[in-house]
Amino acid sequence: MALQPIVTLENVAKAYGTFTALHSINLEIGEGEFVTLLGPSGCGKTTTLRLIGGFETADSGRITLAGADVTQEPPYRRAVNTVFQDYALFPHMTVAENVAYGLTVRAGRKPPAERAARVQEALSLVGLADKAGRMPQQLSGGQRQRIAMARALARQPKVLLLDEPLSALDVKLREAMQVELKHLHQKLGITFLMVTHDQQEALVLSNRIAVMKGGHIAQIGSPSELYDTPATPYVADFIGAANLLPATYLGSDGAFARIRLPDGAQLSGVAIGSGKTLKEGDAALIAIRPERLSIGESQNGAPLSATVADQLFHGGRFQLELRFDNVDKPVFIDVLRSSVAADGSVPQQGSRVSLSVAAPDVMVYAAEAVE
Amino acid sequence: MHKLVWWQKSLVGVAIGTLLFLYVPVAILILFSFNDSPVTSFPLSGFTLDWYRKVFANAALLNSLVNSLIVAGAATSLTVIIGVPTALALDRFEFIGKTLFRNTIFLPLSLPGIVTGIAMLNFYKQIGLPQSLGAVIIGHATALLGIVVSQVMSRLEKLNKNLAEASSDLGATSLETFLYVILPNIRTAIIGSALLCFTLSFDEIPVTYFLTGRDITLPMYIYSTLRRGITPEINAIGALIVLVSLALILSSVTMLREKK
Amino acid sequence: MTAKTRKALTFWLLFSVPLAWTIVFLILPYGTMGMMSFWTRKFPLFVPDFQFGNYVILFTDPQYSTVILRTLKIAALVTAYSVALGYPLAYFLVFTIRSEKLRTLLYMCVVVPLWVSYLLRAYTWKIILGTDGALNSALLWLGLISEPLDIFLYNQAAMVITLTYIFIPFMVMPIFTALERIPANLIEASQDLGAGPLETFFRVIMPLSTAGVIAGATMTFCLSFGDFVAPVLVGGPSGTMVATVLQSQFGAALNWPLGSALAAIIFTLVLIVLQISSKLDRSGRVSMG
Repeated sequence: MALQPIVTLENVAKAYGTFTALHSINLEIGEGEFVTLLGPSGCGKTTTLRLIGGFETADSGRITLAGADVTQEPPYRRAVNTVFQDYALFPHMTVAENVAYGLTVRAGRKPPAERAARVQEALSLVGLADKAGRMPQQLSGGQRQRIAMARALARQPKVLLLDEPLSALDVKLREAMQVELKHLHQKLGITFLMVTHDQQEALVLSNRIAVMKGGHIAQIGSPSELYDTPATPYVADFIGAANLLPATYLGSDGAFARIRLPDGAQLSGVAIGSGKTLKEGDAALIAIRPERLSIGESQNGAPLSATVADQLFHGGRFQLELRFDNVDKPVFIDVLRSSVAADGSVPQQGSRVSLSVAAPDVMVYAAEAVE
Repeated sequence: MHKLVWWQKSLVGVAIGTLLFLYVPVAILILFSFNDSPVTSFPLSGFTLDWYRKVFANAALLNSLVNSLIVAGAATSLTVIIGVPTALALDRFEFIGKTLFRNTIFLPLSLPGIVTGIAMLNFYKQIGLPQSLGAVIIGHATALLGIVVSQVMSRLEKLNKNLAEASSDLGATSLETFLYVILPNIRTAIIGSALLCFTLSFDEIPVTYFLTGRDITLPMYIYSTLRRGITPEINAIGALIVLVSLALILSSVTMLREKK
Repeated sequence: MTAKTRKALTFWLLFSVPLAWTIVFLILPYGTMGMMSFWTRKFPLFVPDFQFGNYVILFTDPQYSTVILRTLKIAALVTAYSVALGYPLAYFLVFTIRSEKLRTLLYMCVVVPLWVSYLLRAYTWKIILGTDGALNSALLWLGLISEPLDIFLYNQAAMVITLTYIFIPFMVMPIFTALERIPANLIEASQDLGAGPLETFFRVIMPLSTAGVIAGATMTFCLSFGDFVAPVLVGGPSGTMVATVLQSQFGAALNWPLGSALAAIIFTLVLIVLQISSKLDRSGRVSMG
């Protein structure tokens, strides 16, 4: 990595009783990056964040912050600050007192003039300078969220930790806050490490995403890497939408892998990860993004065809639920209304449609990888 | 968590000391109830069950125990009969003076019992109600009403208001809604507060002192015995009361746990 | 039957008996007591009157004012000691004990004494502190003293110890509840912002548990102020409290009007304390939302 690492985790493990929350994680976060830990609940993402914040202590391994080993340090001796999931604003203090808190504690006490200036600066940064005298209970959810950010940023941390910062907000506000968060990151230039279970949020905001599963990091990379070449079907399914279909591996065809679907159709795809170890006749699993499947004759190989099971109206687009013969799981594709307007109608329920997909858009994995 | 620092250690020390402070006296009481000596002093002189034998042979004491059970039972029944409708009315209706009414029935819980006792004595004398166990029962029921009302009300507040609406939507009358929907949900609150009322009434002295006539309750008996001097017989009664209280608490706790 | 009359009917069905009961057996007695405090005693009768003589006596006769002041002092000391012992205990239960089961068990241990006869709990201190009681005899036995000391029983210290012992659970319960309600993430936020444990305690935990302390202190103060049993059992002559005087006005001294006036003063005092505490509570309480 070209960037100077600011946070490193080396073989960090953590268990709660018999439950292993983290199995020996390795992670390096560069200065100024926006990294997201993404995964379903119980995957270990929050534990990772809490270990870096100092609220939990690792059972083994090493955590460094700006080069210093902080594995055993309590939270109040770490140069990181956290935006808590439900904000954790002190209910007995005004907004200004909340923001000033970290500048009045013994370890970080600043002279009153500097303190006032920093509070003012932090509140202006989140656009709430006029709410300094309010109590947290008098603010809306979105405003509390921003105060929580201002409070953490007033300490000028090296790394800002964000624990599901937008999860308590409604959809509209969440999208607006995503934009603000991104601008804030660009403006401040400090490292952001965020935890979320919302893949959309992760894709929009991050430089890099670490997808976690069962206490492991399943894959780490840029949003486009994760989207275009997910290392496992799990990642493919978790990031964006993916149609997962069982198939049989037929062999390699130069750059591409040849596979056969249960209905007999043959097509080419790209072997990724476990797919590279496939041998002729092995069971495979393929993943295709909904937007990569289009209605119409295939250019190469046998034509794919399926039956329309249902049609779901989404406003700007239709979603078609399709069924391949001999496959239990439905396949979804998107049909934009702008594209159907030209030739009139959307395929109706019960009709047969031909489908095409380009070989680079078919991702081939070994079947065992499914969990 | 991180290691405890000095002030946390001293805090743990104070906490453990306080727990000991709460239990050592009770332990001493029980210890001396088995001690073969009329004075409560160390060293212990020997083991005996004599004090317990004396307790069970003491007719005046047993008589006062029966009186106490009658008073506590009757007073508790009255608090439930009056307290539950009160809580329902306070929970469901808005009316002028509601807060004042509620504060008034809670007043005897914060007010020293002796003031309530004197007030009742004054009034009973004026209306010609004689000092008797009946007067004590009315006094206890009135003074403890607030316990049932507050416990049942806080349970009702937590109860989803839609439940009652759903019940009437499904065709139940008010009475049916109460019996089949409300009552099962507040039952543990009623039982819990009734147990508390029973214990407090059984143990009550100040109100009883002013309102009772010739019949006395167990605490009154103990109180008058104590004013005359210490006898280890009282230790034995004490140990028995501790035992019964513990049995009651354990049974109520397990009962409530099974319900969950 | 219209919906409105049906509603009114339900209301009165529920509320008529409680209302009547409360008026007759609670409000009228307190009222009668207030009324009688203005009466005159013409031995052996009490004559209806409206005069402030009884109050004048209570406030001017040093015999009564000394007792009232002493009672205030003892109640204040009991409250202070209960906070000093009860707060650490509640803190210990909530923040130091990690196991949920152990915490519930220990909390039960604090509450259980409330269910064990109040009279007996006062009485245990008589057998501990008495001249030939457990403490003296134990000290003699251990050879720490050569003859029994009479400094333990029948003084104000004995009263304070006994009453503190009796009322600690009342103090621990509301503080425990208040501490338990403090969200863990507020404490983490404080540490995250650089405050160590002690600083977090003084700036976050303590302010957020004030409501519990106020509730416990109010209860302890009011109940120990009017306590009836401890003065008789362990107080002795120097431990005479308001309740003792009150009792004698309705007993040997036979001056109900004067006793009623004294009771009315206690009544007013308790109301004032309750009022102050609800004011403090309202300004100190903060919603955790």
